[in-house]
Amino acid sequence: MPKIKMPKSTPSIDMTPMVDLGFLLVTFFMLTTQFRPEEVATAATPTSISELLLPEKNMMLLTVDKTNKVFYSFDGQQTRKDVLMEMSAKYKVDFTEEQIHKFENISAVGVPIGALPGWLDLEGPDRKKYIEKQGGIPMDSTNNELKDWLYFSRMNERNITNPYRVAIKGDRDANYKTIKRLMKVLEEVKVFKFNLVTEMKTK
Amino acid sequence: MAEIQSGGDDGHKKGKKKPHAKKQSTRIDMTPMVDLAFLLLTFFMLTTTFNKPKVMEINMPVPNDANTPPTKVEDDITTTILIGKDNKLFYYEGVFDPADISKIKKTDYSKDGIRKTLINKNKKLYDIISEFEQQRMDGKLNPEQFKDTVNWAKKQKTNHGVFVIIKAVEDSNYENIVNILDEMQICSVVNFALVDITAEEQKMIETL
Repeated sequence: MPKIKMPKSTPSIDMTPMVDLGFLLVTFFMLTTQFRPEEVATAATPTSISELLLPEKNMMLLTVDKTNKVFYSFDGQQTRKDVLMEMSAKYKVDFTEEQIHKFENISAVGVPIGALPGWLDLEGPDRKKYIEKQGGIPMDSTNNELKDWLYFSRMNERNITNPYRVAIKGDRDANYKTIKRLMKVLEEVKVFKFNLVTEMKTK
Repeated sequence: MAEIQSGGDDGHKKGKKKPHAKKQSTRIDMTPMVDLAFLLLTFFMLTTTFNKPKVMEINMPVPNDANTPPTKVEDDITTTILIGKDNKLFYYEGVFDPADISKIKKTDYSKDGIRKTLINKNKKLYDIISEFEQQRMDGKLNPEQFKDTVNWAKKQKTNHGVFVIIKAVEDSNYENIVNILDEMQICSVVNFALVDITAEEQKMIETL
């Protein structure tokens, strides 16, 4: 059968508007992306079907990473300073003005109080290395620093209308023993209502 | 700017000999730049819609002071879930019998495991809530009404099918606990409690 050749006409599309829009969108997203605050420890949380959102502010966040170390974050510059001063007085550990200033600007506590001044003086990657080796806030019955951090935070809470909410962000592989102890410490500071941070999952 | 031309015209020019003038072509192919722009766009689109971490609400019981007696639950309608190490999961019904190991049944975290068991025991409440969910999907109930009716249904004592006691060994994963607490929500179980495991129970499941 003879092949019928169709006359080939070539459309030439002007791509200018498309590229313009592309760059506009890139610029928009570049300006509106907000970076997550630097975390002291990473925890891969387990999944749940719960759809409630984690509050961004006014939160006392207890992070348990997979090596069962406990970290504590809370915000509010003035509150952080007050809590640090109370802890400093109780445990007889001194802080310089510069260290206090640095502490006000980060959100987490990751080391025992004795090591905190030294840790505040370190920079970025050194801090992480320190935490890997001996990080975590002690919460055993002989040395329950965590209880004091929580107690002083609640005492110095400034926002009465929107009080602190407690959340536990645990890693999937964290030991139940640590979580159990954590819940016991929360009970000792009279916190009975708290949230567990999870990722979304479908039924 | 960029023009897309295909070489389809050559069919016509077979007969003619076109003298090729030596011209310097200054056309820049913009394709790689557009590719990069789209890559960047996709990257930012995806990073700004990062998964916002969700939370589960947990209300732990207030420890009883000496005056209030602890709430007593009839032993024979309880189901106890035992969480072992290495993602093992067991359950038994009623009172713990240290002599009878066959009473402890092995199960797992999948849909056919503990979820199936719990839904069967809690069938009445589960069906009621599934009905409400269906109504919400069909649009007959708005989210506010849905929440109110579900809360009302959960408060009716006649709907309560099962009391669940959750006990975990210290070596278990945090993930296991969260999964079980999640199953409580999925199966619409209203009454559950997280308690310490006894030594006898722990010894028994170690052998299984």
